[in-house]
Amino acid sequence: MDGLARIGKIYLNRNSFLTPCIAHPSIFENLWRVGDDSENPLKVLIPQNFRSSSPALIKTEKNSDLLYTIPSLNFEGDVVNLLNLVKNLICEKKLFDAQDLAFPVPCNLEPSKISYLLKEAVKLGLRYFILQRVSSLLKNPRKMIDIIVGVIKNICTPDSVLHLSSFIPPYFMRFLSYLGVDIFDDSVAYIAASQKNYLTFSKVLDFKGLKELPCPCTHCENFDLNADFKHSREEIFEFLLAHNLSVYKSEIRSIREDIRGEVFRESVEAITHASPSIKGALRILDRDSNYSSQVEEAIPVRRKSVFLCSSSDSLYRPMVKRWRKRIIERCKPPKHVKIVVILPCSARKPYSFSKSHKFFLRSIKGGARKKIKMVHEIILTSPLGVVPRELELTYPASKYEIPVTGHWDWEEKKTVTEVMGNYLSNFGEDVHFLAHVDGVYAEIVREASDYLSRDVEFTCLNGESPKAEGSLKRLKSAVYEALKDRNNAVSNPNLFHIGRGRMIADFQFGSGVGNILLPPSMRIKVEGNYPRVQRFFINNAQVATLVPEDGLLALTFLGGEKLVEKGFYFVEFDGNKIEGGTLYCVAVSEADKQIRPQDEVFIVNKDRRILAVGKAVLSGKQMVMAKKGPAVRIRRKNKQDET
Amino acid sequence: MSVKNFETRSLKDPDFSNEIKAIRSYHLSKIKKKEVLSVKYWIEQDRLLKGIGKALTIILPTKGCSWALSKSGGCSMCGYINDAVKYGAKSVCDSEKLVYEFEKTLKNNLDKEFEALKIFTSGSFFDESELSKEAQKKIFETISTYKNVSEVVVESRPEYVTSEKIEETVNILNGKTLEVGIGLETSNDIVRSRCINKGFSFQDFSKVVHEIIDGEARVKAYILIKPPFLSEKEAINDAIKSAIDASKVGAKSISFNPCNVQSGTLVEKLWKNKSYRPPWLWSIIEVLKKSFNKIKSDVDRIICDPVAGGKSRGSHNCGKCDKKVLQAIRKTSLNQDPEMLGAVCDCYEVWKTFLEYEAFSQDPDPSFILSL
Repeated sequence: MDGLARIGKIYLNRNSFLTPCIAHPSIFENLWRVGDDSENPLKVLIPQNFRSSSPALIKTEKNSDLLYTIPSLNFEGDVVNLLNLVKNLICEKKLFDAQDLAFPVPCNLEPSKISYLLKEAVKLGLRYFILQRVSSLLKNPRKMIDIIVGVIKNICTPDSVLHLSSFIPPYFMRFLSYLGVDIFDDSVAYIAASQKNYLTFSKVLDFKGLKELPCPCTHCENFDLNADFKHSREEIFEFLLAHNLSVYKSEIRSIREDIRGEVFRESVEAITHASPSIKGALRILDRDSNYSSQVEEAIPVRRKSVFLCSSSDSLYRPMVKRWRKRIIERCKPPKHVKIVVILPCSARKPYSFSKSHKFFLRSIKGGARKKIKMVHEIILTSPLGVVPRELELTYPASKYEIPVTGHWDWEEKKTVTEVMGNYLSNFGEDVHFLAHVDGVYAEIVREASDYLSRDVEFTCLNGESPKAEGSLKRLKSAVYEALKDRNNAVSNPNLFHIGRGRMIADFQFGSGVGNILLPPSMRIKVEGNYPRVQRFFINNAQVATLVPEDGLLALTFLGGEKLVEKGFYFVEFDGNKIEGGTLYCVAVSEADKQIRPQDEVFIVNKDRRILAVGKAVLSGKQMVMAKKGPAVRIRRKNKQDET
Repeated sequence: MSVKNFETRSLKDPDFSNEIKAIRSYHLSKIKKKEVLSVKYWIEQDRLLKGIGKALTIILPTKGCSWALSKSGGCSMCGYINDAVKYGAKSVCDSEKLVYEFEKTLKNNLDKEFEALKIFTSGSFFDESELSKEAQKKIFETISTYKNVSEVVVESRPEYVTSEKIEETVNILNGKTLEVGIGLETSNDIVRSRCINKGFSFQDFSKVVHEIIDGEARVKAYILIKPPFLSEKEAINDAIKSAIDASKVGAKSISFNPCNVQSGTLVEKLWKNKSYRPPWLWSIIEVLKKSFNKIKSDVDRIICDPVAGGKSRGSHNCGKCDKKVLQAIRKTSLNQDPEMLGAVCDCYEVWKTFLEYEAFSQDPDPSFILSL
């Protein structure tokens, strides 16, 4: 999953197929064959027009191989009449189950009418939707997002299938997948071939003007462009059609592979260059708060892949915005902190293992000595803004890559300044701010200091870089000077590790959870060497584990109880005993709305007793809405509770 | 006033009527209608019963089509009511004045050559609320004195046509041919009622055709190419079938009217919404070819003059070939020779492919898709 895109297997009647996929039109049968690589494709009948066909055209015979399609609408005036027809078919005459029917959604109607139509259709149990006339939205990015995300994705349950039937060029597929469309029609391959258009993944080329065929597919390899004049019109059509269809096929496979490889968002950012409409639509989706929060809900909290931030859109991608939001809202600095040291980021991650940060750490430790626990380090970086040292292992801080050239654009600077200003405003007047940065970083710190009306001491002077000997010496003495008159009230030698555990808990589960899991009043033991696995114990009972791969915590049932008591990160199961390794949506009666895909969650029964721990597949809201599909992959079951 | 009461109750669709009425009323409230309208007229080359000849067309500014003004809302594609004089502007609609204007126009054109006379209102000639019985009679009496005119064409919805009226008119015209044009649009009752809102059935039409033929007049059937809600392919088949059906009933002239987008109509709304595209000129060619092939021997003429041809609101192709193809259509109409329909353009292949795949995409127009 990424954005609203999802990869999945759809089981319908006797057929199953992977999505996203192609629905191939079969003009002789008047139906689509859905599932590009499936041996047993689902057949979906094309819709009749509600006005020009008599409603009796819907066959009354049931055929398990076919999905029947409700007649399609052209104008608002027919919405109620059409719904009555559907109600009649499903509820009164009982000729069809809702799941045997596909429902066309005319995307060119008024949003309020589409919304009404869909809400009623969802109520009737319809789950297969054919999106029509989406091409009328493609030139208008705002309309495209308003209708597809604001109306359709918002109303349809997560287990609904979205089949887009409009003519769309191949380069819109990836972006529309990102918006949650599952099935694409490849009719345009035919239209393009008849128009002598040669399709590529990002363009429509005029075949007549080509000097070379850019694609090395077998159709292109076997076509002699120089002997073009020898080919008949039909031969050229057949060739172009075969190539164009292969572009659709290849693109849909690549989409699936990028979703699986968890690099889908990066690939969507790349395709935005194919059309200003896509670029505009992504901007609206990322930056308009209504939509960005809707998309954020569906974005996982961790990925296996490296987090590439190569375009200006990266600054607004949901995972990045979530980071900045959680840093400000969830992560409160420890009370005993007396100095904040602001450091530049490094190319190597985690930062503390880079050469530059090793120098910084040596100077800071040298200056602070035993009072090191009173020092809080934060790293300034784009696009995340601020990374507290405690979260340097947490995804995506541990795995992001940006082009480092020293060029910052205005928006980057502004965003990072705001995050830092907000983060620093949490610290009391008695906390001293030290900035060990130069260049653009120093400009940002100065602006944030103006914004906060707080003084910041700079340790890189005279144009010296942070790594320069003079700067490092000044850092050391500045730390020493700032701490020399402070009393060291902190004695626990593990405090830095415990502090890290608490901050990760706050970041992962919510403000204050760190102190609930690892209460300051208790004796806490930490085992394991950073950055390897670290275990946290209270009175010799393990509460949590820091998983180094993504810098997040895995909790024991003991830790889970503390979370669930607060109503955090629970998924309520409709029973007492879970079979198998997966909890399905159908059995979920309630779930914490804060849950995001890949979050650590606890499955509880009606009495809120923990039955199992696992990773969420869907967001908390989605798993309650959906009736089909997996909700939680279980890691461990609570054996004590099995009776 | 004699108006037939057809049994069209079962074909009525109040939601559809209301929608059309609402769009029309809104549009009529926005536009400023003229209080005074002059008679419009022109002479052009046309396919007459004798062959190619000249026809004088005169448009009488009546109050407009009663069907369009009624609470039914009128037809989904027709905006001619926008051109009618302001409703209630008695001074202009006055039948005596219309007769006077008509006679004046005719006199002004005396020096010109024409053998056919077409007298149109933006409604029904025989509707007595548009033109009084006496005025109708007076107009025909005037025409009967013009020796060079051999052919007279008027238009009317079927409910205003009666045997007596036809007999009386034929008598007055005294040897001149009378042809009554009726907007059948399609022979498919579902399409006519649910897509056009025409308000009469094929049976109603057939009955009137028989009455007209019995009165020794002729019938011209207007067939709409591509009513709203039909795909391009369905529209082609519908038009061909309608022409065959109309000829079987007895219509001797078939006039194809490719649908065009007129203001204040439901079709305009659908068009703006990207739910409707006027027919391709290739579709017209296809309809003409098949019609000539199937009914040429049963009818006297098959004509087509696309309104707004080549424009985005009218029947059009890719833009490059429109002029050429339109010319082929007009030439074919004049000469009644389907051999003249041969025109070529790259967009012919696109149209052919589009016919097959439109039903899947439900996008009425593929042209902009590959230019995004």
